[in-house]
Amino acid sequence: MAADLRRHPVAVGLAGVAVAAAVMHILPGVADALAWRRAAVLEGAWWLLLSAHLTHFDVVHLGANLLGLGLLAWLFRGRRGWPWLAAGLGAALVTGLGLLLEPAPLDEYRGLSAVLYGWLLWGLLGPGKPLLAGRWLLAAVLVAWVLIGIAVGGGQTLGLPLSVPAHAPAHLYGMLGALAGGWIALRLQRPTTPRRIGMLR
Amino acid sequence: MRLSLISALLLALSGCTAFWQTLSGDAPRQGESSSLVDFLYPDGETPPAADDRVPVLNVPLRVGLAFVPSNRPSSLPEATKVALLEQARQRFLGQDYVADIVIVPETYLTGRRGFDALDQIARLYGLDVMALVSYDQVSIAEDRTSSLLYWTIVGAYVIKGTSNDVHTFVDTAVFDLKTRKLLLRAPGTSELTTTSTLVRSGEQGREARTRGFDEAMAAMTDNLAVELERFRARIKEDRSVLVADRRGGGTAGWLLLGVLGVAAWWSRRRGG
Repeated sequence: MAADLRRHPVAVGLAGVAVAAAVMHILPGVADALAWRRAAVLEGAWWLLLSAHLTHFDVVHLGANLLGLGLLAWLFRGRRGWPWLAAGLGAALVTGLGLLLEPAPLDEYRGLSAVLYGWLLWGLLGPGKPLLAGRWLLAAVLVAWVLIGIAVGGGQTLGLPLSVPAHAPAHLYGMLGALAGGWIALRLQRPTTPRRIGMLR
Repeated sequence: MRLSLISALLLALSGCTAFWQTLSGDAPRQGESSSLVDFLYPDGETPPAADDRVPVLNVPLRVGLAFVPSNRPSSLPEATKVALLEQARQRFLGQDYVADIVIVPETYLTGRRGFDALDQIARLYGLDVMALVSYDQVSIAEDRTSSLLYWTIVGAYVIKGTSNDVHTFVDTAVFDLKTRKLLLRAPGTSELTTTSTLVRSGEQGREARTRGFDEAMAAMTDNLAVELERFRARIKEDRSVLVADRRGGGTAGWLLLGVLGVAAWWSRRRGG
């Protein structure tokens, strides 16, 4: 059992994320306190850049994101944990900072999907066993979909009965942040890879 | 001599309540009102020409709620006005398009008038829209036939020979503060008739006037809820007002879930 868990660090990590998101939604007041709020972030509450992604507006919002998270965990369960973690952190941070820079600013943001989009793109393009033969095409479709969403206005609910509209630009920030975070993690890991050590010998 | 006495008696009989209320400081016919147009365009100022700017409401909204100040000192105490506004506030506070409803004391609006005064209040409280409640109330105290018994002195204490008619009209107009455009309005009315003894006519009259405001505000609040629904339906169709949400959700839409689902199915089929 323990060996299985060690073999699937991404699946275990994402299950932890799912539990944290569900608990934060259930406990009264927690989601309100840990959501991304422009004023609070500008006053120095930097942790909201990360915690906001685990908060949700309603049950449909939480359910859709947890479904996506579950599928991601299953698809990429064999991937290495550290770059995956870095991609998630990069997605979360870049999304939080990107929201601050928008010309028509939001006051409040919640939701995991920016990180999900980031993880999916990283899963498609990052190192590891290719998920599909046409992964570059799939990645291009994903990016195009997000860009179209931004162009037509991020106020749609993406076909889901949500109490608050989806914010499409956050998905772009998430993808950029995940690529940056994953890439940095690989750069930091590279000197210790066996191949590099072999070359030095 | 006898004729003069009878004439004086008849004159006095015809206006017991009027006479009593004048003595006690209340006029038999009272009116108080506040005019929205006078407040927004003081000193005969003419409203600006219509412009093409489309109001953009960034929901959830911060709404200001205030009575339009009366030109004369109001008989309704400020505390009562705040309590009346609080009832309307509670009705709409839980709506998803409302972040907060701030009751603005009338004293904040008495110093300056017009949209410039509203702009100051908006900056002070961070408001997006302002709901201004104007009102008009007329109360008339009249003697009924039974008031003849007031002349028995005891009758002034026990006979309800005075009728108090109170007609109240309130009107709430909601303005977008950036474009200064009227978004919607909702009226509320109340008509009350109460009877009282001569000695309690002043007190009962004041109570009736307060109750008139209470009922008219409740009716206005109901109408405002209906008007808001109509407003929401109307702006979806005619786009005369745009709505932008200040909150955003990071949501996995159908495409992301679909891609992941197909990939999971494909991966499982390959035995991955």
